[in-house]
Amino acid sequence: MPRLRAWVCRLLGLFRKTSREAEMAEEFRQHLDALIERNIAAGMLREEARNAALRQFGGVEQIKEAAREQRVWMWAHQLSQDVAFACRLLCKSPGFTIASVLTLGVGIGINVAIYSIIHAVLLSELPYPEPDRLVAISETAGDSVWPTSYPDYLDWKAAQHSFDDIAVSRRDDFNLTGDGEPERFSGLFVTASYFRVFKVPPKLGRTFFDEEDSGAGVNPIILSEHLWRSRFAADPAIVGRKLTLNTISCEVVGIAADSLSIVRNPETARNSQGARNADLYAPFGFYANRPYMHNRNSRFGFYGIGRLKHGVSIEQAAADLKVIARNLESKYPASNTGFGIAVTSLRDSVVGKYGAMLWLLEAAVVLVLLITCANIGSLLLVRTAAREKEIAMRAALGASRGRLIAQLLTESVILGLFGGVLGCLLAFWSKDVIASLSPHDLPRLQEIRVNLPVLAFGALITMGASLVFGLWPAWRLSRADLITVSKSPGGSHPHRSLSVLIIGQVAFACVLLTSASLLTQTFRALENEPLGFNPNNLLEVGLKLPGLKYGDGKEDKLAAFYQQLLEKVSALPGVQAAAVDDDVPFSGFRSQEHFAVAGQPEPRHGEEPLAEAHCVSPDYFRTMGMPVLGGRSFGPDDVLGKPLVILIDEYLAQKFFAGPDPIGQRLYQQPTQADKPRVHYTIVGIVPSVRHGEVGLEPKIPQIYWPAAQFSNLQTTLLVRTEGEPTALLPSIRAAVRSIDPQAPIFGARTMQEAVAASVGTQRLSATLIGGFSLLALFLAALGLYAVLAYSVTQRTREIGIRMALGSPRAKIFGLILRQGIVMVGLGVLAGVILAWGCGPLVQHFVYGVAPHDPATIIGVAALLAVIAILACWLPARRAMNVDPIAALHYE
Amino acid sequence: MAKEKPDLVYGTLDMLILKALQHDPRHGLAIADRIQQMSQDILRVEQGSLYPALYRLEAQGWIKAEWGVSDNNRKARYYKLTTAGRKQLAAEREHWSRITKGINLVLSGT
Repeated sequence: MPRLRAWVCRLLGLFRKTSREAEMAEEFRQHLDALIERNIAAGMLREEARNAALRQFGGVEQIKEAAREQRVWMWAHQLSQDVAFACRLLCKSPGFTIASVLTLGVGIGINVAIYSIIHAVLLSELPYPEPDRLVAISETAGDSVWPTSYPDYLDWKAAQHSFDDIAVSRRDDFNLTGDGEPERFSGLFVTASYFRVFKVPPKLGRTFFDEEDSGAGVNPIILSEHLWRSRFAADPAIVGRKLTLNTISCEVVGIAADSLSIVRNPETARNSQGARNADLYAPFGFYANRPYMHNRNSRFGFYGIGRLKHGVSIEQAAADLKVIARNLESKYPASNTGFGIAVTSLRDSVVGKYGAMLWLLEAAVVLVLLITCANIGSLLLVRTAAREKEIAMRAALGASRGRLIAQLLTESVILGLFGGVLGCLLAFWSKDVIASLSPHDLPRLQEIRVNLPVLAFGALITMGASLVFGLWPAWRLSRADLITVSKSPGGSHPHRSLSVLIIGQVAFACVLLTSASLLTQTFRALENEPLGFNPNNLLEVGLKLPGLKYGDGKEDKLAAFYQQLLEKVSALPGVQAAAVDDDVPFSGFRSQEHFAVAGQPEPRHGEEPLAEAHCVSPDYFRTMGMPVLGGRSFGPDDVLGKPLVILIDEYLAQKFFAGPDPIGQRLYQQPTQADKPRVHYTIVGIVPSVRHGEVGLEPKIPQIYWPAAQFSNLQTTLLVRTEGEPTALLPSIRAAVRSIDPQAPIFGARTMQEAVAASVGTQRLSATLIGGFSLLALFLAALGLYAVLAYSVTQRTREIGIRMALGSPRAKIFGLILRQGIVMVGLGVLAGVILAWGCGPLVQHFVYGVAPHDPATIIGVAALLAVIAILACWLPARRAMNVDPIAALHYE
Repeated sequence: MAKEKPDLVYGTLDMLILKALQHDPRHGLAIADRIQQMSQDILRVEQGSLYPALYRLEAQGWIKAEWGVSDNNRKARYYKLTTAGRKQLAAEREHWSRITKGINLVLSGT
């Protein structure tokens, strides 16, 4: 209770400040009077008694100040006083204030913006109940990670003890027809358990039943919330409606929440240009008879997820699955030898390769913020140095050191606050820009927002930054001593502190510039890597034909479709050549096939070499701009019923046919079913190796081309080489497709150049952002250097005047100032080079086509930095040279 | 933050003031006089330490101040111990006697 009362007293004290001050003065006066009376009683004269009493009492004002400090209520008063004082000071030098707030705003803004991405992508939990229990399950063979096969999944599900449930999904595309404009949607085949694993209830209707995994009853489908809203206007009566998908009649049984879209099937992530995972869901029973549903070797496209039982760790689950994998190995040696099972946290698997990139960006913006702090710190030092006398005077008058530091810090905190508010606003405005720059497959892109945790981070770094740049000047200044200060006319020179700050800025800028240069070179190297084909004036258009009309057993219809299509498109004005490829470069999708060379030792099972598989039409190589290096291209005779032929790439030829000419040799494939014979293919030609995506960072894989007429595919991509701007031809191509089959939707039209550019999106983004940050850092360091030297010249005006008066030539004065700058720049660059060298291993992971310690880069950056920095020294040095000695000696 | 003079053991001023106010309310000068008198002139309290200490004790709710009239008919600010102040005094005395006992034991040891 007394504590409470004391608080109330203090609170009231705030409002009674003036009466408290008056009381204190009155009390002291009474005390003095009593002392005087006592002295008179002791026999002193009145004047003498008064002087003695004053001596006895001590400095009235110091005591008052000390007494005031004891009253805790003073803090609020002091704060408001400090704030008012600091605001007045800041208003007096608007140039400094605006420059500092702007720099800080940018420094804090980029930190908050990058953090908002990190928060959404890396730090926030997945929006499902108990997200820690969600894992991704995949197969492993040696170091490589594979999707699983459906039969393997069924065995896991039956044998596992660690999961509440496990599920698989498989991406596929669906053509919706007969209901307005034919449209193609990205879909997922999922097991009924998929929704149970996520524990996300349907928005409407139901999820799938377990028996629908193997196909029972109608074809049920579930629409995603966004598709339901965009295409069906959120029709509440949608459940029960019939739709035609891939020419199969389906019934909508439910609407799935969009939060399911966050965890994307890895193939959707690579393929879809939008950010959506799935527009609709279908049960595996939809295509229960497809061969891949029954083949253990078919480890393509099935991605497993699971929900761990309570209290089961990822390691325990992995151990459980390991036993299952062993059993499968012994039970099915032909398909499962060498295959293990891997379990990873779902969050990690969603973030994938982006984690490292985002932390790299965060490191870069933290460096920029440190440079900003050093910059403002040095400006504050310069400013406060001019106030040393004032401060020393106040210290002599009884202001305690803590009080002085508090007052000086108030100024930097106010600067920080304005900077922080500006920074959060900038982050808020820039988040859409950053999102649009981001690679389209960056997971959880839609979740990026400037929310409470992000603002809290902003507040934290604002406070941190204010203390970092404010504490040093404040601490230094609070030691000011009246005697020393009054002896030197211009105040003491904070040279050493300033030099340290400048050297720090130059060093950090050097590190940033080096990283930016390395990343830009990486990006350029990736972009300029020879592709093996000519991406200019090349248009790609996706096509998917309905299976019922053109599928199994109707290959002749499909071949006829493609033939008509290519004839029509080739004949369009402005088209040089047209072809189809089911697996175009930079589509993100790579179909792979095992193969073996006839006449060479048979590879052991599980060790067959892999090749990238393309099914292409005869004009493909002409369309792509790929020369046929040996043998021939496909011709009109390479059709069904004729000998099976292939073309191979240079790499395959080098690797497997070191001696003999590969033309005429044969490759073969092991049958997927044991009772079928091997299939042999004759090599008829060799073409250049083509890069296929993930530029530069992908392992090199041999490439094999099959004639599309012999191995037709329902889903393919039409490639068109044009004379002019490729996209201009899109309407006539669309019309050509419609004229053959109005039900065949075309999708994903883009130029090959766009596709190539998108494949280096991540590298481009980090190179662009870090490049921008490093330029900002360079600018700040130069500005800081300029400000400090200009200040130094002002401080030394008198000295310079004397030097000149004593006959020092102007050039020597110029050199004097320039040298001061050059020494700081030199030390900064040296420190920066050492730091950048030390950071080499950290950036190693991000660079390609250039060594992380590339001497040319480091020397180039150091030289650039030196030139800019010396330019920043030039102006103050010139000013020093032009000092008028007469005016300088009259100075002060 | 108060600058106490070295003739007072650091940190003991608050306790001495509380003790000086144990029985009667006193004004500032009388408190200083009382401490000097009780210590047989060994301890002198500087005004520079006294008033900050008084304001500190008041802010902590251990003493209370009100205006009154002094013996020689002058207006003066009288301080008096609150209940919390009495408890604080008891606590500090107990603490002090333990410390001094300890120090004495150390000093008188062989």
